[in-house]
Amino acid sequence: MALVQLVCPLCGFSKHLEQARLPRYGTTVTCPKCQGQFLLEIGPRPAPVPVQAQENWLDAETPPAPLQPAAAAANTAMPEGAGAPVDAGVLETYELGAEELGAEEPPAPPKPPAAAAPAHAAAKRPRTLSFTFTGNASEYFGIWIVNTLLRIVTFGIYSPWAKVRKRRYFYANTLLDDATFDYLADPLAILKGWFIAGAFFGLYSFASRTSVIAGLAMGLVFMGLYPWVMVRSRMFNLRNSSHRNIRFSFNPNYNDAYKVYLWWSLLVPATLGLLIPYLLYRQKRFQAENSRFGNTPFRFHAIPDQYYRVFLPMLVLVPLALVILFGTPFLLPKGSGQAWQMILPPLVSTGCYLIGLAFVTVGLTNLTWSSTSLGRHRFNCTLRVRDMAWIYLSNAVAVLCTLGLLAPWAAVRMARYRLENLTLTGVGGLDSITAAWQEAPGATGEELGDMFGFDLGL
Amino acid sequence: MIARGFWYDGKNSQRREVTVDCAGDGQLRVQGDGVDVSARLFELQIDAPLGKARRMIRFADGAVLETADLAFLDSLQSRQGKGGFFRAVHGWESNLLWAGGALVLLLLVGFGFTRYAVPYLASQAAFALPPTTEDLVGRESLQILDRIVLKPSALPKARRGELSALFLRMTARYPERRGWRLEFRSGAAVGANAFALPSGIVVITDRLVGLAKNDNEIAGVLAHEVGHVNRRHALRHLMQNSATALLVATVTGDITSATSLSATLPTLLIDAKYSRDFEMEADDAAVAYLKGQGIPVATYADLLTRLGADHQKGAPEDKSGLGEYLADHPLIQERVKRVLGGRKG
Repeated sequence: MALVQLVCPLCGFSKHLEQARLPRYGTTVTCPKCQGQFLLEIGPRPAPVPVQAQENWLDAETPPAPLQPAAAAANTAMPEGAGAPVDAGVLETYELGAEELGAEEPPAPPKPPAAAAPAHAAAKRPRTLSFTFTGNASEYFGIWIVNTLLRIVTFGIYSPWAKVRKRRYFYANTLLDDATFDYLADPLAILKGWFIAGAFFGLYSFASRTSVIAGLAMGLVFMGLYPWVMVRSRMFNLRNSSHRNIRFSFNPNYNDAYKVYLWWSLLVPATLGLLIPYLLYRQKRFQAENSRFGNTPFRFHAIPDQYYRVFLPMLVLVPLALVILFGTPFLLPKGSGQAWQMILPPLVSTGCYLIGLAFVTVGLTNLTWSSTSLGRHRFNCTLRVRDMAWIYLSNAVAVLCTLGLLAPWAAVRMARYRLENLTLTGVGGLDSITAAWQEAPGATGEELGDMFGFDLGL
Repeated sequence: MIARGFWYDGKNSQRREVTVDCAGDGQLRVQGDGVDVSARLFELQIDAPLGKARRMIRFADGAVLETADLAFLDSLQSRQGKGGFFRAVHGWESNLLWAGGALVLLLLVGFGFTRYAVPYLASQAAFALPPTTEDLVGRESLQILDRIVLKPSALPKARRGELSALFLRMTARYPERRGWRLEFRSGAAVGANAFALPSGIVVITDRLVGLAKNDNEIAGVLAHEVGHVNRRHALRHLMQNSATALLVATVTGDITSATSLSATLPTLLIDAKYSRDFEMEADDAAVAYLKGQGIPVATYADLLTRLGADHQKGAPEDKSGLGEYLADHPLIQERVKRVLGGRKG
């Protein structure tokens, strides 16, 4: 009897099945491991299925192949405008109820749903939806400069309106399958959070400038607040992001938040940093699995191994840097000057640091997005290290040389590149997501995080 | 007036292609793909214009109509008579010439703030701060310096006594002198130096005492420091720097972390300007004191020149020297010129 291997495109789980028991081509099956649902692309064919379409499906969804380029603190690193609305996340166990085909029992592996009529199956072939960015630099320059001016002449009171305007611009110009995103935050709620965060920030900067102990104490307080800030900020941003008039949301458990953002990170020094990839894995999983789009949870399919593999370039870069650093006195010809010995070490260490940073951030972004799915749709992120490095460097030079005037251009350029390398592949489009009732979280966490630059960190 | 758009009911994510029409009676009608809704115009919320992005008309029940027909939306908004402020902001943003005007205005306002508003507010705040707070700040600052760069003085006790007495005589005429004191320290990193900390702590280094030919020269230096103390320069400097850092962060708020240098650089430049202003003010105080005592101002200028030379000499040895040389030396020459100019005038 011929055995066929079935692989879940979402989590990579595989199972052998007798050919005869295989459901018909194009039926929806539920993975026994991750409960994710996917379309079967092998098995007895119903009527004519265009061959090309099938190949696309295979290409797009082969389980996460080795490693794609490099890495970024995915969710956090996406520019606000671009990343937030589609950030991943889920509530523990949630059944996708919207589509009639997805109603099987999880335990039994692939089993044909009785209702799967051939014609239906053809209509349910997976499709790749792409993100596009329609904003442009000159338009955003106007918004940016007027925002900045109004913020200053109002002593910062206008900041929340400026922030909402900026985000709305980026969201409204982000299209997924020709539908926009929408940022709905109430500037007054942000203003309240801004005042609280501002008082805290003032206290912190005054304390740290005047007294070491007071500064340290404030630092400790802030460290304790950090997971809370992360959670509240993400809650606020997702809750105020919508797509097709359906809001996103984030409903985590605070215990888990403290585990992944505080307790575990305290262990990092004891493990000489070896825990970092695992920690990142846990954080990304936490972010993804607790987020939803309407009633549909995001799911996360990566395994810790993959996060460790993102850091592989470090195994080359760190020894290389050490060899060059400690080897220079011997390598350089005698008398080639102290100048070289002065210049080389900082040059080498900065170079290695930047290269490592590029590989790791791009790798993390790609991995995190590509491991995230929403309902029966899987994200795929294909940033390239050299592109990202070039954009970062040229942006930095351009912004510095124009004393900041090209900052809007840089922001638009980065958002466009990131979005154009993100796709969502799956069955049936995103038109059957149902809304969920949610309460509105305050903006204090979001503003605290903003002031201390959290969404840039990690 | 008819426009095309997409209808999302807010209950699920399905998109419906619809047409929307607003009749003269202020009734908005949406039709198509199974949708047939009407609403009165004044009940609707229409998004403020933003670039050329599509915008929403929001209905009371949570449904939205998304359309790229911006002219249609603008006409609805004018009929509603709402959202005037953001329509004005949008007009400003979308005209490059006007946006350029905003840039010029921004530079002017920024200059006005850093040059006049921040120093004024900082000095008001510095004089309003309770003395206990200032004491705390001064004490902590000295402790930090002691730990990092300063070492105990090696001057004989008698010499220290003489200079302390000189300091007391000089400060006797200030009613707020409580807590002011002279501290003796040494330290290679600071070289020949004297500086004032908040709450009236004046620190003088052994090397400077050694460099002075007579006590009149030291009196000039002390008068300069007392000038700092009397004007609460240390505290004002601290506050001005915090304020400008905040200001710069406001302006550069959305520049990414990769370019954070662009945020620190202007702060440093503004800081340097503030330092110069304070130094000059303190020099004026020193000149005034010396004149009052009948001591030739040239003695103070001499000492400044020698201090400059001394710092320059120390430069190649220590790492901080290079930056110090670049920043301080021209400044000292300028100050000497200014002090001597004051003597003539």
